[in-house]
Amino acid sequence: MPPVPASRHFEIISTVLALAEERGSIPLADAARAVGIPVEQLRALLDPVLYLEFRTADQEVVDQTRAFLLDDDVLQVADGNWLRDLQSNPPSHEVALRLLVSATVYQATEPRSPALDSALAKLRARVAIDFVLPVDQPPCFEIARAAHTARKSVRFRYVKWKDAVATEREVLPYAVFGKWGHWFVQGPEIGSDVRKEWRIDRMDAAVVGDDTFEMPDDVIVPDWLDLSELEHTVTVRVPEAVLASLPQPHRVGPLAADGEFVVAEITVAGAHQLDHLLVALGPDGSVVAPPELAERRRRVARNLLDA
Amino acid sequence: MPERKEHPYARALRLAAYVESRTSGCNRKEIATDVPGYGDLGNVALAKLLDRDRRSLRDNLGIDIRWDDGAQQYWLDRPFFSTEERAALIAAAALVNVDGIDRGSPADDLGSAVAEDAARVVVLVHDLVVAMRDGIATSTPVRFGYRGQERTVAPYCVGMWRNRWYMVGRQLSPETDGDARRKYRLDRIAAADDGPAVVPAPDAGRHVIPVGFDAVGALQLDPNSWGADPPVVARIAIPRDQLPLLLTEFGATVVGDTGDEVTLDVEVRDYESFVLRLLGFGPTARLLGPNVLVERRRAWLAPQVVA
Repeated sequence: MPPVPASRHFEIISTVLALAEERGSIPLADAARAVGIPVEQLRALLDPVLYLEFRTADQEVVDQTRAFLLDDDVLQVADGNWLRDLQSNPPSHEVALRLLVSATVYQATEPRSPALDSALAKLRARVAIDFVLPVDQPPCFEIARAAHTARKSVRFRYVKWKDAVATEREVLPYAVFGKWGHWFVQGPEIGSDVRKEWRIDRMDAAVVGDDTFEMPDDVIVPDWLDLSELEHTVTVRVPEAVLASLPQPHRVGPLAADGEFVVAEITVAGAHQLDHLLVALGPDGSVVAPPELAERRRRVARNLLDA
Repeated sequence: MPERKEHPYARALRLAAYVESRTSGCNRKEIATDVPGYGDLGNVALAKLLDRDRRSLRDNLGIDIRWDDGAQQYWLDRPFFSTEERAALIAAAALVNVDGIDRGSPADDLGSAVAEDAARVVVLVHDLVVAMRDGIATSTPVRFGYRGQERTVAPYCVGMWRNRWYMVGRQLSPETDGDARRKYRLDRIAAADDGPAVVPAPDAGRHVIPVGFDAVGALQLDPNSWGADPPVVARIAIPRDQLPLLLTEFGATVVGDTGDEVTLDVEVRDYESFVLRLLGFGPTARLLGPNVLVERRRAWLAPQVVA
């Protein structure tokens, strides 16, 4: 096997120690794969890091393990990553921005930590700009999380978006996660195997339930929610300013200018969102296609007016 | 100490560990005596070797061993993050996945080696945030296309509202009447030509963010907060089950609760956007007053009934 080039020595050991620190531990084989060298070469490269020798001022020989333990070929960082403990360089602006975002969200959702507060102060100074990141938690967030932590069900009244009537639900909260600007509980209803995502801001009167559960080992935060079956697309003609104020969320397709108006394809998910979109077109807007949605718009507007 | 064939990186690591242990500094002679790999060298050769290893540690690991020429001492620069701060940031990075800002190598970028599938919060950072940050931090105006027009803007701050990213700044060109402060939605920014979407515009001069500029206030994007209509208090009656959604939408105050129906007050500063948003709650959300809003709602809907 060819020797590892000297130019890679620092990169390899710092990468491997970063992996061990940030993941708690890492099998040496995985670490070797991550840096693209055989396990035995990695073991040899790590040796001087694991066992450092020098003399102190009073001539005592120090033979340090520097807190990295190899146990059953698993690399662990038991007491901080020594190499990073000595780093004085600040993170790049881009890295600082990424850390600032994650730490700001974390600070808003987890118990207060002085270490995180001081790290955030350093990051803000490094990023050096006014940066506003609201992290609101819906009222039922803590109950949902308490149920998740206790591995117990959570009971709540749930109202689908803009529905008038809520329904009673009891869900096993396999995960509590935030994505697309909202907080969700993921899990099946009691008696069902179908896992669903439940928006926490649509819950009311949540309480920790009595049913317990074992955490499945295949819980993942979904990359996206498939709403394609609920989508409606409508072509509209509206003043440009109205286009900008149409209710969210929606997707805007191809645009065409028509004097002071624009003609656009708008896609929304769900019947309620469609109704809202149709009456948001306003007195100067119109439905171009399909024609049945023009009739639907008239009906929705009348219902609202008569209410 | 046992003889061991070693690479230069091992010697440099030992040097870093030794200097770290000597909190009041150390000189060349002490290093030559105490740290294997530096003995048996003349003064000039020792100084050169130490300089080379210091450079290597600084460039590869961010470990900066300083030399005080007056005191003839080496000492270690303070770490940017403490061990505890770093641990807190890693915990945050493990929980909060920041999409939109590329992760670099684990060796260089703190928080980039965490296991991604463990994240429970995903925050999407628009890819133009970094460019805006650079403009703000260096007081350099930026140029971009927006609504079909090239704009040059002195950026003041960036932030997120309702899952969308905005920049607030003063528009330098085209010139505007009155207050030139504008809000720009980053996902509506387009390249003015074939190049990057946002480019620095140093030709527009450096800018100064006004003393006392309130970023949080500037990024208060809810029309109900910054609208220009004379403030009025809207009274709404809704079914009890719609309360969580309405509170999320408007942050209203509950003034009456019959059990089935809740009455709320909302301060309104932008009549049209309020009426539009309330329409989304359907016919069960009743606007009780004041007349100025009731009439605005009627004027919005009535033409759509006969359209």
